[in-house]
Amino acid sequence: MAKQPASVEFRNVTKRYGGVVAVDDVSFTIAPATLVTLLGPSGCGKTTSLRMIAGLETASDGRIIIGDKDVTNLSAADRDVSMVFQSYALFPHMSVLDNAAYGPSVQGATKARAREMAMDKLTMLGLAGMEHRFPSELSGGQQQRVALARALVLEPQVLLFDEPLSNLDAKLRRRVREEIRDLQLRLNLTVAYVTHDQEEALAVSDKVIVMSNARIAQVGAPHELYEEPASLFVADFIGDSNLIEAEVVSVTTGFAKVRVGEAMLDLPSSNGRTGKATLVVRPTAARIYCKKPAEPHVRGKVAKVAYLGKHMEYTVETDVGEVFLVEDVRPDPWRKNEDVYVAFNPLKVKILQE
Amino acid sequence: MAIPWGLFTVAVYALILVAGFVKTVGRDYTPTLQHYITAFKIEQGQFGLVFSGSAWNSLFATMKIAAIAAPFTAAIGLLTAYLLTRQRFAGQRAFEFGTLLSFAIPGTVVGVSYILAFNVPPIEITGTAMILVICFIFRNMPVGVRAGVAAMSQIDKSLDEASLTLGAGSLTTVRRVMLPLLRPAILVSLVYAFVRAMTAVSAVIFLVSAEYNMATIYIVGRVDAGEHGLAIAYSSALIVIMGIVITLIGLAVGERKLGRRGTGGGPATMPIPAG
Repeated sequence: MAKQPASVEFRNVTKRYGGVVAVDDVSFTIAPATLVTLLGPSGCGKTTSLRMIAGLETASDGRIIIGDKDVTNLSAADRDVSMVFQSYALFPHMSVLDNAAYGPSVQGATKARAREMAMDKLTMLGLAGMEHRFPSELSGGQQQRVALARALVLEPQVLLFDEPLSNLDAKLRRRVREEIRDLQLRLNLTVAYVTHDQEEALAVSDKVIVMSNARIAQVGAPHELYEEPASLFVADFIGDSNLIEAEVVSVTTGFAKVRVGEAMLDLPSSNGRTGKATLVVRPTAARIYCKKPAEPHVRGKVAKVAYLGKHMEYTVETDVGEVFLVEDVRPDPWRKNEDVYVAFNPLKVKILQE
Repeated sequence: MAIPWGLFTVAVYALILVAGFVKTVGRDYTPTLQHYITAFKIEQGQFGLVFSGSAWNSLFATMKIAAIAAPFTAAIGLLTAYLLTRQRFAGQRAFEFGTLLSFAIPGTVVGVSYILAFNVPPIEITGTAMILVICFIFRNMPVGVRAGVAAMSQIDKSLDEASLTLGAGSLTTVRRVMLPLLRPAILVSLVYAFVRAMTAVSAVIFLVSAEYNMATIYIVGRVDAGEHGLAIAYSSALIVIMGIVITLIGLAVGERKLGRRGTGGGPATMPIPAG
C-alpha cells in the first residue's frame, strides 16, 4: 500500500439532533492499522459515530482528527475515508467494474486507469470474471465483495464498515468476518467497524468500544471486556453472564470476602468495599455437583437442560436466583428437577459495585 | 372481462377517427376528406410550402409551447421532489402542500388569476407565449413532483452517501447516480407535462391570444361554430401526434435501459465462490 494507515481520534465529540443527543461527549482513539469495533444496542450512537468519521454527519461539538489532520469541518467527499454500507449501496445501473471504478473516475483518473485500479481490487477479492455483471445479478456475499472492492480502490486512510454482516446468512457471517479481518491485517488498514453483535465484535477486533445511551460504556481488548467488565451493562451485554446479588462482608488486601446466599467466597478484588455488590458469574465460572462439594456453593434444582452438540447448557434454580451454566457433554448428563449444588470458581467470579 | 372492455375502448377511438372522415356525424355519413383539407391544407406556393389549413397556426403554437413547457415542468418538478425527499428544512410540509395546491384549484380560476396578476407592470405578459408556458409549468408541476418523490424515495439514501464517501461532489452524484436512476420519473414527467399542455382547456381558455392560440381552444371554437367535422378531424390528428411524441420522448430518454433496475441489495442465499 502506498499510503500509510491513519489514526482516528474523537475529542469530546457530541452530536445533537434537535433536542436529542445521539452522541454525548465521546472521546476515543483508533490506532493506525488496527481494527476497532463500535459495539452497542441499537440507538446507542455507534452508527452516528461511524457516520461522523465518514463525514456523513457533522459533529455538533468537539473535534475529529484523522491522521494528523483536523477533519471536523471537511465534507465526506474531501475525507480520505471509505465506507462499506449495511445495504452495500451498489449503484444498480452500473456494472461491477464501473461500481468499483467509480471512486477514481470521479476523482479525475482516466477511464482506463480507473478500470485498471478497479480490476486490481476486484481480482484481489476473487471477483475476476464478474466485472461485467450488474449488482442485481450477484448473490449477497458477492455484492458485499464488490462494495468492499469499491471502498478499497482508493486505498483510503481509514475504512469503515457499517454492520457488514447483517444481510448475510449465519454460515456466511463467520467466513466473511474472518475475510474482513484477514484483509485488514494483510493490507495493514485502519478499520472502524460497527456492529450490535457482541460475538462478532469479540472475534474480529483489536479493541472494542462499547457504547450505551450515546456514551462510551467501556473500551478494551475483547478479553478485557469479557473478563473485566467495568459495569453491569457491559457484563450483561458482552457474552452470557449471571448477575447475582451478593454482599461484601469484609475487605483485605487484594481479597474480598463475599456472602452469596449461604456461601462465603474469597474473591480477588483490588478495590472492593463492604456493602452490596453484584457478582458476574460467566457460565463456565461455576460447576454443578450432586454431592455437597468442598468449595463454597449454593443449593439448587436443575430447571432446564439443553443439548447443543459441543456442550450442554443448564439452568439451575438456586437460593440466589437462576444460574445459567455451560458444561461439557457427558454420558450421564444432569436431569431436570435433580437436586444439585452449584459451586463457584473464585478465580473466575468478578465483583461489581456501583 | 378484458376483451369487451378492450373492444369498448377501441370503439370509442374508432368512432372519433371515423367521424373525421364523414360529412356530418349523425346525419350524413358520406365519406369525405374535406375536414382534413380545411384544417391541414398544405399548398405549393411561390416561396415553398404554405401551410394554408386553418388548424396549422394553433397546432404549431401548441406544439411549441408544450415542447418548451415540458422540460421545465419536469425539471422543476424533480428539483422540488429532491428538496422534499433529500433535504430537511423548516416548513417542509407546507412547501409540499403548496406544490400540490395548483392541482386542486380549478383551471379557470388559475387562468383568470394569471391575467389579473400579469396584466399590469412590473410583469406584463398577458397575451404572450410566456404566460402560457409559465401557466403550464406550475399547473402540471405536481405530477413531476409526485413521480420524482416516488422514484427518489425508492433510491436508497446510502447510494448518495456512497458516492460522497468515494469523493464525488453533490453535482457529480446527481449526474452520475441520481439522474440515471430517475429516468423513469423523468420520462413520466415529460410525457405528462407535454400531453397536459397539448390538451389543457380550462386554464388557458382566458390566456390565449390571436398570435398564440391553442389547439384545444381552437377546437372548442369550431364546435361553437357548429363545425363538428373539423373539430373531430383536428382531435384525431392530435391523438396521432401525441402517440408519436410519447414514443419519441421514450426513445430519447432511453426507456430500454430501465430494465436494469430492481433486485439489487437482497439478502444472500447463494454461497460465494472461494476466492
